[in-house]
Amino acid sequence: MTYIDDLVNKYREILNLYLYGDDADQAFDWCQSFSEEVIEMDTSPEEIVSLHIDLLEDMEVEDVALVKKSLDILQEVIISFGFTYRDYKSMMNKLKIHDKEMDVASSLQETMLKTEIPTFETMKIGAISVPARKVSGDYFNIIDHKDGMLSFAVADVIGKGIPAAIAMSMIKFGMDSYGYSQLPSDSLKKLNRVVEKNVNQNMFVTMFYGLYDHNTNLLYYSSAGHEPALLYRYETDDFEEIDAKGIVLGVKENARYEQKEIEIGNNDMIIVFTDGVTELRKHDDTFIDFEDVKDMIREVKDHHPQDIVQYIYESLMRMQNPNKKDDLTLFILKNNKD
Amino acid sequence: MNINIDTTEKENEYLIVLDGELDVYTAPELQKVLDPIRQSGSHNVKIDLTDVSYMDSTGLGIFVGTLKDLNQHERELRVTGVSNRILRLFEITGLRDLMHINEASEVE
Repeated sequence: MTYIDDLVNKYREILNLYLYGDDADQAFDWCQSFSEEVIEMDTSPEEIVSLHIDLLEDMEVEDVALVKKSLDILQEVIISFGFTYRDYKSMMNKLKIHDKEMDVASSLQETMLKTEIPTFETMKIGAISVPARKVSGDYFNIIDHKDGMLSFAVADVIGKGIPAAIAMSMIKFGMDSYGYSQLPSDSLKKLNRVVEKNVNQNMFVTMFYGLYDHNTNLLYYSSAGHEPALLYRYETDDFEEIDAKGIVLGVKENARYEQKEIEIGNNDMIIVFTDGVTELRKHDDTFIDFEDVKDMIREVKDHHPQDIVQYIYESLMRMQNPNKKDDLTLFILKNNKD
Repeated sequence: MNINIDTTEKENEYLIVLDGELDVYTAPELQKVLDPIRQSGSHNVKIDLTDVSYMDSTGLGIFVGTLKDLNQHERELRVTGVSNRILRLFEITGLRDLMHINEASEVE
């Protein structure tokens, strides 16, 4: 017996009991469990109506009074469809509200959190940040301290949607409000306290924070659990990994961050990115080989960093499995003191 | 992409065995299983990742949240069967020092 036969028999039993039996309440009880079952199977109301018609014929119910009486059962079953429809509608409404909230978060990011890329004579900067969905979890900020110092940060906020957008604005206004050049380890320590107090349980933020002094060519940097950055050495055509120890922001109240410094040579590039680059999934679902990314950078190393990030982004998009998209951010600072 | 979640309760611990990929798409399913456990705080939690081929930062977020909730109730979070690729995530983020990862479990 198929599942459909089973349902037909159940409906026949209900009709039999109601029309010829003596326990109407029992019949209505059965109606309820019957409706639940057919709704579960995605049966449509019109299928139930034709089942009803077929069964009346099959059971040879011809008496007008009986046919009329049988409609009570049909009505009882159809009522449940009405409830389901109303549930569906209220869910659609909720979804609409949710969509609107996402629009707010997305325009908040586009306007308030937008970072202008400053221009300098002695260095060049390129940056690209592309969200996978409406609201991005990636964020970068660049601050020109006008005293020969430049702060930059690349962050990945884990936990999406509005909480992520709020966390980002906290970070931006935290960074911007220092107003003078702060050491990366101190900045991260402060940002950690801000994020730790305000975010929901599952959320955390990874961040690479750099302070570049273009008088001395020294880069000071710290990392809050972020992907290691790269330093491209122009003279040797080699990449060095730059990383410092530190836990992600928002998890441990009194976290401390290691800070390192390194000298940047002429035409060297500091390259910071998010896991949208390192964890990129290719069309065959395998992970990207990071050596390929390094080779891409080598190919265009003599271009302006903005062209380099654009080129890499486009190459990565061609390789990427479109169903496995993640937010992607790339930041390049090139020392340019010719 | 799918994930299978198998939960067994023994004495003071929930053992949660995952099979599949733990990412932004499947994380809500694990979240649903963990929510009541996190709130009640009556059990330690052990999550087995032996058959998890891929995990992204959303997955890490769940571990962070679970850890915070469990710590409030003085309960522990253990993660076992962590592959090298996933271990790298725990290491970069500094979270490895906060959780019990791939520790040999006590003899039963």
